[in-house]
Amino acid sequence: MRKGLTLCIVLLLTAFSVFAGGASDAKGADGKTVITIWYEGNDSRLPFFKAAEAEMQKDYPDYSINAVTFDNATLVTRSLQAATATGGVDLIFNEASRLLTTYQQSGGAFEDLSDVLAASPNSETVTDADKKVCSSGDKLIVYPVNRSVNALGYKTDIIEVSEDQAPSTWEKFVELGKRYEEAGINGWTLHLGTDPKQAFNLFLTGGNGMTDLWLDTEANASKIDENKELFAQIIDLYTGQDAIWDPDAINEDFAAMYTKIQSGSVGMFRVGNWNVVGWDQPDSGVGEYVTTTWPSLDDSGKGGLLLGGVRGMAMPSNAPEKEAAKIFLQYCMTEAAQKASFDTMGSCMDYSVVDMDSLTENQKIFFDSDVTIYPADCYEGAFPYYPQLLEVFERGLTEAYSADGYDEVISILEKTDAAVNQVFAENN
Amino acid sequence: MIRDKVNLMRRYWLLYFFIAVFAVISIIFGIYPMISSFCYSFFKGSSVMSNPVFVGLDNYTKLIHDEYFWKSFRLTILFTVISVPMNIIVSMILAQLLDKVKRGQLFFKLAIFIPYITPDVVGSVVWKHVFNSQGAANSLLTALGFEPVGWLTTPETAFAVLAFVELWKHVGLYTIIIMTNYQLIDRTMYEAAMIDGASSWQEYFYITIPALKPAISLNTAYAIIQFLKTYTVSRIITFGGPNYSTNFLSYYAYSKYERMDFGSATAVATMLFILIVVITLLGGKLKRRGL
Repeated sequence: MRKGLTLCIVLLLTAFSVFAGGASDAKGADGKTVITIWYEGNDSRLPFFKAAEAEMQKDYPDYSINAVTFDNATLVTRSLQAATATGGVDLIFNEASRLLTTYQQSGGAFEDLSDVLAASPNSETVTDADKKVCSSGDKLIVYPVNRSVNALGYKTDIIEVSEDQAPSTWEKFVELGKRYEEAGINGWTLHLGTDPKQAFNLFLTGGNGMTDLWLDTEANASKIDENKELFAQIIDLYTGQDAIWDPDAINEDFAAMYTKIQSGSVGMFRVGNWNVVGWDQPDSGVGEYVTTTWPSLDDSGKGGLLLGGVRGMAMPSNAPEKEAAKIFLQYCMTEAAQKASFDTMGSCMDYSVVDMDSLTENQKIFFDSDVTIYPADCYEGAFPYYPQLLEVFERGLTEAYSADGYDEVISILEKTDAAVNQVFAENN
Repeated sequence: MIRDKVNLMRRYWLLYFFIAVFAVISIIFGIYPMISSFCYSFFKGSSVMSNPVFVGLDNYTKLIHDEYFWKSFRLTILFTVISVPMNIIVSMILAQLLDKVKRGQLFFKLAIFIPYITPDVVGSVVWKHVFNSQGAANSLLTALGFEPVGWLTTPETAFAVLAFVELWKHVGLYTIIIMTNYQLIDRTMYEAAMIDGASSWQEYFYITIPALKPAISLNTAYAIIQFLKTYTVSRIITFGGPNYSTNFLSYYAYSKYERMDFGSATAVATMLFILIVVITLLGGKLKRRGL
């Protein structure tokens, strides 16, 4: 009995020390101030953090970072918990849209980083479009690190595509899609299993500079009815008689979509500035392709690219090392850190660090100053009940993408418009 | 009496120690989250993480008026009603066949059981590729001269594909259980039946099935709970689509969680838990009545 009790006590103490040892300590063992960073994605982000840390330690040798990675779902939940209750993190790195949603759900428990950005080197490289997707009202919630820009890619190794046949207008886009279908591959793809509204941002905003596509942020009302014909035109790529959209897209997320693109079985697809480096490799599976702007709805052929989002860092108001973290943020805009961001994530804010001569043909469009980059709508910061609005909209779109014919699509969009306005009515 | 129990515990202290460890783990990682989840369902949206706003039964009331919840509910029940008998019948057939195989029985047993120990996600990803529009299934159809099928892109076939994948995944366990019990049946009963002139079907219905009743009951109870909780195939293969045709309750709860509507997510999970408990208790009652 005594031996058993002793064994139990030893095991419990061991378990306690393991759990207790896992707790974060803002002061490292060597007395340095430790800035805790949580980030999404794999270790490809680490070189960026380390580069910024190295620059910071030139002036602040007693500051260091502890960067921990999580998958997206875990990071979002833990961030919300940390910002509102448990604390323990100084900076959270993620897509700005997710950080803004977390900010809204936390009841505004994040710091305004406008002054930090203003005091940073190279802050002039951050455009108003970048700030728009990083802000809630006039508060800069996300300190921008790099941009997620989307272009249109089309394959050139399946069929010959002359300059005149390039998908610069909507008509040419559809025509090219049909040619790919005749050649035996899908004309176009974009995942519809998650985020079914993204196609509207790409074609209507990226190609034509349209904003506030489905929500009127001034009037707190739906704009779905106003733009339903345009939405139906895009949905028709999937549901229409001459559909060119990969039918499997209805069950795909971005990971499955990438697998499809990298199998070389799709003619046209979205290309992110973070995709290009990998897809340009000969063994990537994508094959020969060209990046271009999104098609214009008119005959001008003067589309642009879509600023889908910005990746950056937000600071909970209960950050234990707030001042040190603000200092660290400023070093994220240094040349070394921005170069590391470009090398590892394919993007940065300060394009002066990019060696334009070393860019591949497909990368050049993302850094071409003659190409307009239009920012996607960002409602996460505008409405605290945005998740409810989004749920209703996505339900309607999911139904629309399974509709039988143009008229049914229009009818569903009209119903969705009413449902979105209902959410506004319930929350105002 | 108490003294006897204390003496027993002293004698088998190691056994109780190991049980206690797992009991503590179950309480911390099983019962505590279940109770917390139930409590969260009475608070608003994501406020449980920040400043909890108590809303009473509001989350449940909203669910009751949510047509998507009822659609998920009906789909889950339908999926279970179809999958349970399908798995039981197929496992019984496979068990009988396995029993008759003399050469290579181990190989066939492994072949049938390996899907059960294959990680859910891995199996689901592979089957998704098989049933994609350009996957192996359609390649086979076109090679045989048939038109390809939108396996995962039409609601009816997507539902059927998930039922098939779940059958592939789970039938191995049920087959092994049935087969083990089948091998324990007293063979002299069959000899006696043969002498009395019983046909194969009569032997099957009057000897085999009654003897397998405990195993069938166990499998049925387990299968009901398993299929009511179906999640992975929906999450990996169809994302609840197309058009919510495979949006089972577990996935519906997850989709609420993804939107940080933790109050609604836990309310759905609680409703599912209640459904499982009610059906299990009902099954137990029917079993006690000999049905």
